[in-house]
Amino acid sequence: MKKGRTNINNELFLSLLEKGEKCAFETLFRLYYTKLVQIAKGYLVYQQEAESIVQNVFLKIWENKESLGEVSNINNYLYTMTKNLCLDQLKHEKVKRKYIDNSYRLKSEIQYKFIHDEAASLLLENELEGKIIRSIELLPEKCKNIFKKSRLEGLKHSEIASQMGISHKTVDNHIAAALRHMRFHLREFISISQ
Amino acid sequence: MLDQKVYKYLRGTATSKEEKEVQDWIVSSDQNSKRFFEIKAEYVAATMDDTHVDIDPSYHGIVNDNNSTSRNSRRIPITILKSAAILAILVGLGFIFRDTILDSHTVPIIPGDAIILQLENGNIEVISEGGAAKVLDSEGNVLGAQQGSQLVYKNNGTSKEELIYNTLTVPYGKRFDLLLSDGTQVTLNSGTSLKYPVQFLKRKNRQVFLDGEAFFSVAKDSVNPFIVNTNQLNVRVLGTKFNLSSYPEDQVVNTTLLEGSVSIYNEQDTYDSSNASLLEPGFKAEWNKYNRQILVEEADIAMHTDWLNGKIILRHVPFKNIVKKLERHYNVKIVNNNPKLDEELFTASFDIETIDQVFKTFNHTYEMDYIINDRKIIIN
Repeated sequence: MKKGRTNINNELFLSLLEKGEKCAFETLFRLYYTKLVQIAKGYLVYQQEAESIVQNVFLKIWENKESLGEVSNINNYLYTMTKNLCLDQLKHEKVKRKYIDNSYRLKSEIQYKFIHDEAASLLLENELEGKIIRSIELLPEKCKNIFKKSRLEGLKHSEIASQMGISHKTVDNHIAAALRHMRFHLREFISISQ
Repeated sequence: MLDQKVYKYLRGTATSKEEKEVQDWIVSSDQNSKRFFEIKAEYVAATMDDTHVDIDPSYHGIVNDNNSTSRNSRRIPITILKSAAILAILVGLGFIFRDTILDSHTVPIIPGDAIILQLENGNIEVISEGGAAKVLDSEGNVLGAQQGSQLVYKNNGTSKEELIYNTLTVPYGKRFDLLLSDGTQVTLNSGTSLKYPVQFLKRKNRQVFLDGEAFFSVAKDSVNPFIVNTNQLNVRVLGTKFNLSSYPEDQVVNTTLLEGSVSIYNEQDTYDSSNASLLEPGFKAEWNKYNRQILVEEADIAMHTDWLNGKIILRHVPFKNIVKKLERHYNVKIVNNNPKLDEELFTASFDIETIDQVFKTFNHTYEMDYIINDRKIIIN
């Protein structure tokens, strides 16, 4: 990737996750949660399960954070995990519903085929990554740089200050402004705290 | 026609009969399944930006944040809001109905927020939502009929020599569907009017005139091109899906293509592949009315078509351009006395929010001094 472009598979970011940095985990969660819920809704027959499935995805990541070092593509990892848990859910439902609900059968048959359709999977996975990158890229230049340094690269405010050659106070102000901005620009970020 | 049912199926608004129909279609062949999966994947991709989910409680549930205060979700189920909206519309219609009855001895007054159909002879009819209006020609033959929120024109195969036009006008705060006699599906956005022939002529271009914004799903006909004429610009297609936004108050005319291909050329020119810009799916053409230049670039499809689902999506849009969108969507008047605010960029998406909630959200980012007084909002 070109320098300056947002890269969600940034090694630093992955290592922060591995170390169990809450801040990095929260960033990951806020970037991905609602989007994965929408994907899960697309895969399930009973959409109300979507949120609990995606919560399980993040729970698993948090519990197995030590193994995140082996992950090279976090977008693919999150997407595949969501898909697999949805498939488990479909199988589970199938056993439960087999003999009772006729209209369920056709629906679940279609959903099974959909979850296994490679073209659709590829499109969804790529769209997901594109949207995540775009949502960061859409921030104004200053906010974006500070956000990336502070959230994706895990730099301290003082480190950002010396790197950018500005005072500590200015960094604080920029971050406050960036967060205020993001609160609205990316509703997912609503309660990122400093 | 089926496409529309598929979207209803995906949105979960299909009746059980339609649902069965779509499902049977999907499983009837591999080709159909493939097609459906493609549409579905695109649909899911487009919904990824929806942020209905309240994520804070879920997040704190996972990491057990001790310092997080448990907050009660104030989210109101969408269905309740929808019912409330329907009720509000019904109550509103009730008043209009009562007023019309009471005033029936006087000249009928057309309410400013009515959907209006103007016939060839200049007569005006009010289309009430959920009504069953019929469109007749001068001899009393039925040309079209209203089916719910859609006006459907029949192709009765007459060999008329002359084009007869109707004009449908949708006011601020409303949207309406139209099915033209050739099978072309048009959805009109708020504050839009479309002039179209009640019957297209054989061996003649299919031409309509747009003022505002509409989504076209044009019936395929490789012999007779479909041309939308708008604001110095012609958009020519054979059979495709695209969104065309051309409000007189906007500086640019945007054509966003979803499927097929379209050509865009100056209204004064006759079509020729050398003087037209050809657009590929996923791209948009932005025609600047002032410098008369066309800019073709990759488009964010959701941003240009989400109005079809009653949403407003803003990505890096200056406030001055948002004002008009909000006015149209919510049928309000906004007066901005703060010129600095005009150039501020905002990114947001709204759907079920009321105009009060929208302004509260704006206020979070950019403190503005505003007063909402019924349908008028003043920013100082």
